[in-house]
Amino acid sequence: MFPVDITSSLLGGVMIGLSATVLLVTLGRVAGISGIVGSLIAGNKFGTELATRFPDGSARGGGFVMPHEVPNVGAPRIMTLVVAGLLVGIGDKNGQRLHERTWRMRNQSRVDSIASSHGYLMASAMLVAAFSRHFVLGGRP
Amino acid sequence: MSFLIGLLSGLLFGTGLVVAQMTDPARVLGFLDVLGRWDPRLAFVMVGAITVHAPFVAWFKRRGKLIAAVQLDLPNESRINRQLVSGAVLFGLGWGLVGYCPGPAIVAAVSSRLATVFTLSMLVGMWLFDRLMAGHGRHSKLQSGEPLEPA
Repeated sequence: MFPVDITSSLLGGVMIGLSATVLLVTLGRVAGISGIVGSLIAGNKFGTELATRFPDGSARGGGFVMPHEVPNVGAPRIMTLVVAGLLVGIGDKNGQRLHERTWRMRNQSRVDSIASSHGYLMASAMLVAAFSRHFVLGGRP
Repeated sequence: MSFLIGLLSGLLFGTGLVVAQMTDPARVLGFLDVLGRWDPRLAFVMVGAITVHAPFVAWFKRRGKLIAAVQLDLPNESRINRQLVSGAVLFGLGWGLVGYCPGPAIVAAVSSRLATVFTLSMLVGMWLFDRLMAGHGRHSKLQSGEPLEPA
């Protein structure tokens, strides 16, 4: 049975929730980092300062507490990372900032829509994760 | 003002991602791979975040206005359509392939060469999408600055 250590997960979640709350009630933005960065790439002037400061702060905060050496055990090939990055970048844009759009649905109490969008995303991710680990990588954990 | 808020919320966000170990792709893939030795800890990250955020969202909706800004910046489209579904599927494929999604990847890029490769590729993907889809009506540039309409 997997040893479930939930304290760090809950604490991290609380910090993420607080961050999202600060952004929402002050600047009216949803903490979707891809949307914030994506708006900068798209040349959206609104929130340009936020578009640079939020990722900067994230990297500084994360870098401060992150272990100096991140283990690369079972690391994917570079080409796999490139393909995955392209898919996530294009997918996020194609879904018009998925995270923020899902938040709008939640704000409008569109539970069916939230379930659908998260469902498609999670189902795709789970299918690929299971397939690549068990069938392509031969069951590597 | 937005400089400080952006930095503060970013610091909290990045620290939270690392504390929750969401920057570790192995942990994320352990959650996504339900056929293997399933690791449920990612679900507790969601529980923690929603527990804190949900009451403020309710308060925010009642209050109906922002503290430091005058506009709510969200995509206008809120319906399920082919574009959202295909976007979610593509995003999920990339996420499930290596275990990185945008936030954790940007944070992990500080100390991981692999996360840097992923992040740069993701930015190229976003840029390519904007370039290729510019001029297509359905994928026109997002409308921002929509006035706040409390529900």
